[in-house]
Amino acid sequence: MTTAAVKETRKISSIWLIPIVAAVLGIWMVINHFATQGPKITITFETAEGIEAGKTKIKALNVELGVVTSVELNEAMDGVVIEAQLDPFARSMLREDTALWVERPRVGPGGVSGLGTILSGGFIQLQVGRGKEGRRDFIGRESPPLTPAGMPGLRLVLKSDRASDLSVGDPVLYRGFQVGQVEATRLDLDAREARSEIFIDAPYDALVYQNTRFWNASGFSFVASASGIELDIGSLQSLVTGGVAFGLPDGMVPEAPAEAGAEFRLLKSKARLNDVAYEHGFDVVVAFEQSVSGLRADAAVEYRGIQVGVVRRIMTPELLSDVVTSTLEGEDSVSGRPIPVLIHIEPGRIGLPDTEASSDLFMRILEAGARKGLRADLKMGNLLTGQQVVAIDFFPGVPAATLGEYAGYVAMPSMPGSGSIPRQISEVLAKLNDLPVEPLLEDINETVVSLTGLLQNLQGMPSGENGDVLYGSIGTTLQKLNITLDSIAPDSSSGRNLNRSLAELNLMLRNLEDLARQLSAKPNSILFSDPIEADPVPRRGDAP
Amino acid sequence: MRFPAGTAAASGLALCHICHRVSDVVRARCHCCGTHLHLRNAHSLERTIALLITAVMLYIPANTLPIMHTYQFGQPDPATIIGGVLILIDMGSYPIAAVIFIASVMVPIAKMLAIAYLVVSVRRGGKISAQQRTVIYRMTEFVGKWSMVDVFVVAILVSLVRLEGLLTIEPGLAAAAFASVVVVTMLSAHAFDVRLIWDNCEVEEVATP
Repeated sequence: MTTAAVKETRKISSIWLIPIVAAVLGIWMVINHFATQGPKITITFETAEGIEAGKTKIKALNVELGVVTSVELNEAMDGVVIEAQLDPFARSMLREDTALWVERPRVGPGGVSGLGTILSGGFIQLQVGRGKEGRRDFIGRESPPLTPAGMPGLRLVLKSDRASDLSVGDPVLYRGFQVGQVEATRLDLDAREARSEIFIDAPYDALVYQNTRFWNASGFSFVASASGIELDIGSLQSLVTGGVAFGLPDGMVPEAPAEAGAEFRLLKSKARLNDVAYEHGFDVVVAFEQSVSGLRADAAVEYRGIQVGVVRRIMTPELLSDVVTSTLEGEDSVSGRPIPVLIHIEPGRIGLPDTEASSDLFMRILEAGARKGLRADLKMGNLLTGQQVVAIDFFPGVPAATLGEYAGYVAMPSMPGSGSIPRQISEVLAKLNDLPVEPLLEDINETVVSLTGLLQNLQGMPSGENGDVLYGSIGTTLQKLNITLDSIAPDSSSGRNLNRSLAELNLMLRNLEDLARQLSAKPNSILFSDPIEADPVPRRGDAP
Repeated sequence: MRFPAGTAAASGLALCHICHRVSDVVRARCHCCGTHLHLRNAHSLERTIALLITAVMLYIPANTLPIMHTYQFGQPDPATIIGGVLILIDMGSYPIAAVIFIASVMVPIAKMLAIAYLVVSVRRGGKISAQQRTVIYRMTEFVGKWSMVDVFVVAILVSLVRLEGLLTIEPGLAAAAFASVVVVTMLSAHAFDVRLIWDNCEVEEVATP
């Protein structure tokens, strides 16, 4: 019989390994948690709408970066301070120009965005910048930035009279392609004009030169001018949202590329593109004695049909003060005072360099031309709209004149007249006057005389011997014709033969008609005869 | 080792813990099945304490980590046990909240406290009688298997709620930790040798008819 062996138990049981392993695991987890904890950031927002502590995520490109840990009011109680715990890998995303905003459903000119947040709730979107790393306090944006920070491109300023020309998010178009967008618009109080910041994405920024013009491409433009009616409809998007387009005026050579922050004036429409394209020019006053109805500001000034400038305005105030002063001086001022019109001539329009020297040159041309009959005149530019243009031309036979001076401007002589159409009629009459009527009349006289001689010849011809012979031969011919007609009369022998032949022909045609009917009913009857019906065979049951 | 008079151990008898046959302890092996006989399980208290400590340590992540992640439209929404109870209270489902709270929070804590008390009272002797300790031990053993409710709830939800893209539930680390707590406390209770309860009884207390 075996007895129990009494042995000393070991001091420490191996069971202690279990709590030790559990403790080591736990400690490792805690250390790991703190070691891998990412940066904490604070963001200030105007409102905490849609932000919930512990729920709202921070995302970049829809990848989760962290979660909001607390939402509190700031000390001034006019905003909220949000603390967020980010994942460690987000550390490199926290840069000086990193942008943060709350993603919510938005309907804007650029389309509808953030629809997913209706179901999932809002989240804070983070857009990585390019600045220095290490920032921890951020100021949240209320709306997403239109252009990501650090995006290559060109930021420019457009000045315009009306803010309604452009709104944030409008596209910047180059030949219909969107190459950028409007980032901000604001009213400049000092200059009393709207200033819009636009951003042109690289590589399209290379298309902007210092002499590039920007115009409002709000989809729809209707221009009625001396050159006709122009209706321009852009793409549907620009029709709805508007936009700004840019380009160079026709024939203009690109200058140096535009610099960042450069200021440009926004033109009202593309039609104005060539109007302000020239910086250098000079003003000239033309006093017209005829009616200036149909002449407006911006009407063309042409030299033989080539535009050299534009009408600035009709100088009514100057005219009025002129009239008032001369009335005070007791002159008869009311009747026939010419109407001064201020025109602006730009030498650059006709290919001269756009410089001050060209203006001087052009002024000298006008001065010299005035002596040789260079005059300004009013011309109907468009019969439909009744627009007039100022036409400069050489008029032969006008006395030499010199450039004058009116209200501080150089004044050039105009073509006197009471209106262009009556004057043109008188020109026509003058031309009629100048026609060589008398030689023509002599020619006509001569023609009439020779015609009379011809008629006399005709009268003399039938009389005399020749006439008798002619009449005799005509009589013989008629007798022979009579005999021929008699031979084919119905009661003559040939006439009877003819009748019989016709009767036979009639009969034949009738037979042919029968044949034709048979053929049309059964075309193959000419080849195959009708099938012969089989003899009837009596069967049982048939009635006898 | 001295045992109180009137107990089996004092009479040199030991219970086989496999076939429950009482044998003479001198034989070292059971008459019936040949198992090693022990008067008292070796390191019983040590094992119990070690497993109890493990359970306590596991109980920390079981409550701090999320027990399940609800993915609603792809947005993860982690929930801890206490968080779930609070949500149920907010929703007004007080009975369910009570069930979860009792099964997942109160029962494990009570169990661990009970085992700890038993260990301490066996070592140092307590004020309460051996019978009361036995009642505590029986309660601990009985209640042990019921604290898995939370784990079951998670397991059922994970398998039932699988609307891909709309709503998905996935178990968190706390579910594993919590299940471990339950298992380890059961092992701990099992490691406790009940016979130790009677070792420091007075002989007179044992009513012998």
